[in-house]
Amino acid sequence: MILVTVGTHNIGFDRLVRAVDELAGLLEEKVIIQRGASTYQPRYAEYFDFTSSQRMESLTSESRLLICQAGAGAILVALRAGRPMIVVPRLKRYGESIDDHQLQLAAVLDAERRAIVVHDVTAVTLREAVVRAEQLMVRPPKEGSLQLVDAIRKQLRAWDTHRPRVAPLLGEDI
Amino acid sequence: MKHQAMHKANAMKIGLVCSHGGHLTEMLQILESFQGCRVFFATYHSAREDELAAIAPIHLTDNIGSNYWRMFRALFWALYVLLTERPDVIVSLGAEIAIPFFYLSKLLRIKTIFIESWCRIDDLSKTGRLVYPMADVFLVQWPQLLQKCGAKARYYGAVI
Repeated sequence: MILVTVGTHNIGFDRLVRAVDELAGLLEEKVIIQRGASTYQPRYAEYFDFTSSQRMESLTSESRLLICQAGAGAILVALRAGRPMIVVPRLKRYGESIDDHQLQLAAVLDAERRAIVVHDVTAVTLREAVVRAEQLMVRPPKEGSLQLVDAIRKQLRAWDTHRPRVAPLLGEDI
Repeated sequence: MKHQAMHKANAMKIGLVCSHGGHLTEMLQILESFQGCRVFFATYHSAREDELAAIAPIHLTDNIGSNYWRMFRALFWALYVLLTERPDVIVSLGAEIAIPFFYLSKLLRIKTIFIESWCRIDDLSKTGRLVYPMADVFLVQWPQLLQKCGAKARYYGAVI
């Protein structure tokens, strides 16, 4: 199964939904689209608009390949699940995003060969990308969030020691 | 048992502020940072609100986006959340929902940590630029982004 996600943005991503639906028409494989605020009605793929994190994670682990917008959420889920992915950045010029920041993460993932990036998204370019994605080296993340978690904890502890403590009210203690 | 409950009642209170998509997914990646603290969420209405409510108390509003009127309304909502919850620290990973919380927290002397989203590598988000002057701690998730920020910014790895 191929899972497609466009995220929770209040702007849809019809360019991707349409191309993926046309791709679904060419494939034997099941395609499921999380459509978000997109308005295009898929004809070949199954679709839904939004769902819980748990369902998204279980769909991700059931899938063999992910096609998603180049946003942090879906990419984190895909990397954690160790699924190959094709990412399509939302672009400002199509009114899909308020800026072109999705190009940044897409470029890094492409350079590290952790995802296939498709800019000109059509059924044909996607079908070709699916073949290339099958050859991707899927590596689990190296160190995870340990360093960041540790830094936040240290900062909170430092603030905690300097925090003015309110004395317990009489009778509440003991 | 009673002692533990009291310790808990006196533990630091952290407000986790983020919008409902990738920013929230990033926040959930670092949830263990707040172990032993009292925690609440402030986020947008979404299909994910029930699972958050199972973790901690939750305050919800409508997606602000780039709508100035909704931002204005969110200012009062954020003030209500801060005054009722009285957190010691606000932590946010964006997006624009952080803006009212960081400006009000400065006024209310609440400490703040802003973490720029993992998807920002070459430049700061608009939210990042707006809250930078207000944040007590400002973190980025890519070392190359430090060059685009002021001296306050730090890099201690990423959510993944």
